[in-house]
Amino acid sequence: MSALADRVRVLSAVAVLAFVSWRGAAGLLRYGAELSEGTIEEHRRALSAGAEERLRAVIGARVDIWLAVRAHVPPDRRLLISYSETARGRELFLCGRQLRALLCPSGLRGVPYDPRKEEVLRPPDTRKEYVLDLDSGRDFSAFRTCEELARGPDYRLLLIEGGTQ
Amino acid sequence: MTLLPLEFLSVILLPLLLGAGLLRLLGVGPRTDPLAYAGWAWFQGCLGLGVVLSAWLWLGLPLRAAWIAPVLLALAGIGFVLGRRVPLEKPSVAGPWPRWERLCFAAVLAFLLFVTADRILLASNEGITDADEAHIWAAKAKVMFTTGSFGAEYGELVHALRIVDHADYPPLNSLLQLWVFTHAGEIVHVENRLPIQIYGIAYLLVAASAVRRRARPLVAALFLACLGTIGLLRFSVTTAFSDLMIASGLFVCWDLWQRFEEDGARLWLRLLGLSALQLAWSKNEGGMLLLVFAVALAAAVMSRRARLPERADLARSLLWALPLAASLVYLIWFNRHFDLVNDLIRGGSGARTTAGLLPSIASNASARIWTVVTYFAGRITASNTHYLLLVFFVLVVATPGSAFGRGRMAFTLGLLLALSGYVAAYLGTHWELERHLQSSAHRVIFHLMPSAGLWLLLPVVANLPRVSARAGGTAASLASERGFPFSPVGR
Repeated sequence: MSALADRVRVLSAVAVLAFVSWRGAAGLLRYGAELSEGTIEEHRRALSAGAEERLRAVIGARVDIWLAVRAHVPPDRRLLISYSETARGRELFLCGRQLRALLCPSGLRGVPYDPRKEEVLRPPDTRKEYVLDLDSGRDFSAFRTCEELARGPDYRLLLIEGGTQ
Repeated sequence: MTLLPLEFLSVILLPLLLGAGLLRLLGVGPRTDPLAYAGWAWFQGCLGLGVVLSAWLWLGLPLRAAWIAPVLLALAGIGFVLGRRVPLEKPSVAGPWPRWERLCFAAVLAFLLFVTADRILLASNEGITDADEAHIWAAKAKVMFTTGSFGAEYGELVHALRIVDHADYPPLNSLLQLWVFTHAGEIVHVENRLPIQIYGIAYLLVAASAVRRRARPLVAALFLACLGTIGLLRFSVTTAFSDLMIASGLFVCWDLWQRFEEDGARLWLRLLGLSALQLAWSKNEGGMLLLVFAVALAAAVMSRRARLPERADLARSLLWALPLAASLVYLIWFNRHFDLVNDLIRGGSGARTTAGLLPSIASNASARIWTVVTYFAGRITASNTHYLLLVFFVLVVATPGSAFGRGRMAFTLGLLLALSGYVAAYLGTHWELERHLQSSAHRVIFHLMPSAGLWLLLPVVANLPRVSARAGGTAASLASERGFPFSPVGR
């Protein structure tokens, strides 16, 4: 072992110690600053709010869609989501993802509405199909039986029976 | 909240109790390591709970906490009763450090625990509605709860389009969320994060123990402040991703291995054998990290730069790897049984090709290497990582003799190989490279951060004896630094 190698090791250990001290102090200061971010109201809500309120904090009014689907669609049934491929398509796709997470494992199947695509003109392949229409612009009235189960801003929940147009 | 206070307590205390029973079976009591004990108990208890719930699902028994809790209590009791025959490991001797230093360390730990608990509380303001925590981990837990067993219906649902993403991922995270559902009696969307978030508390405790064991209180406080404020830790304790389970699992494995390197007590190998299960059961990356761990140990042993148990104890120590081997066999069999394959191995949802990972690495390496390496470099030099991996690289280059010397070679090689493994995974990904990097690279790098921080502590205490924890210094570390042979101590 050369003296130089020993010196390099000791110096590097001192440098690491100084470095870790700096980063550790910076981390504690950051944590201290972040600690004051949570308001009393947030803490109160964290301790007392119900599930609906907590979900509304993340997905806003979309909770109403979740509640409507829960109220009308049996948990073992599949749900097809129809949404547009317009400028709002991305937003509606995200809405579909959030609802998919909440309704899992009801099995939401998302289908963007695009009148040029053959697939959206085909009837559902099951005898009874629940459709969540997220402002897709698609006209479901042509189906033999099309019952509206719930409606709200930007959505309609439909039950389509028969599977033929 | 959907759960009652008593149910909350049950969600947390029963796994802890089961973990304590398992630890007692290994010869670990609260006095063996007062700081790490609760953390180890949580890790072991969650693994035990995962195994029990898996068996429960295979048997198709009712998923009610009132039925499962007595079984857990009975198993914990068996652990304590059988463990009475196993002598308790004695605690390591702490040096006579000034009171103000010890208070400083305690204050830093208390502050970090408080902030983490506060974050866990505030995170409960938001339900699980998107990202991997919803579409992988919670989704699989919901399928388990709905089907009530690992029967045909489970297989159908995990294969159905857009119900569970990455259904092949290991089940521990989802099983722990299932544990919460069994208390609520229904699917919940907030409280199921809790068991995963507690890993943040457990990590802080084992990290505190790891640094305090090796460094004097003030230096340990500085390292703990660094290890406890790594950027992604904040994200991890507010979500139900599995990355914290991997990061803490890897940290515990390397900490225990280094403990064995330092004092030769076989207890650490026993605990290591069971702790390694956390990697296998948490996420697929854990399998790669286990492989890397084994390769690094083998390389260090073959080059005579790692401690081995005495010949007579070797076979007995290897027996503690049997649960890990059994777990790996079970997890592979599970995926084969339900015909689940990882998308990196055989394409998959969102995949562009169906080529396997290795051919894909070979064919894409030259075209992608620059993108992947520069992206990794960018992440490693981000301030929220505390530059721990960057400093690790600098030290490996500056002091290769120590980094690859006795007592540290396996650890050094393990971190380097793990990082190389992650780079290779991105080289071979079937996903769009940039998108894959942006969505996950920061998280896989986080897996290595706590371990890199622990690695940095080793040369500090070895080369600056005045900052090491014991008056005599960490003799083994010093010996390894200077190239002296170990004197194996088998306990």
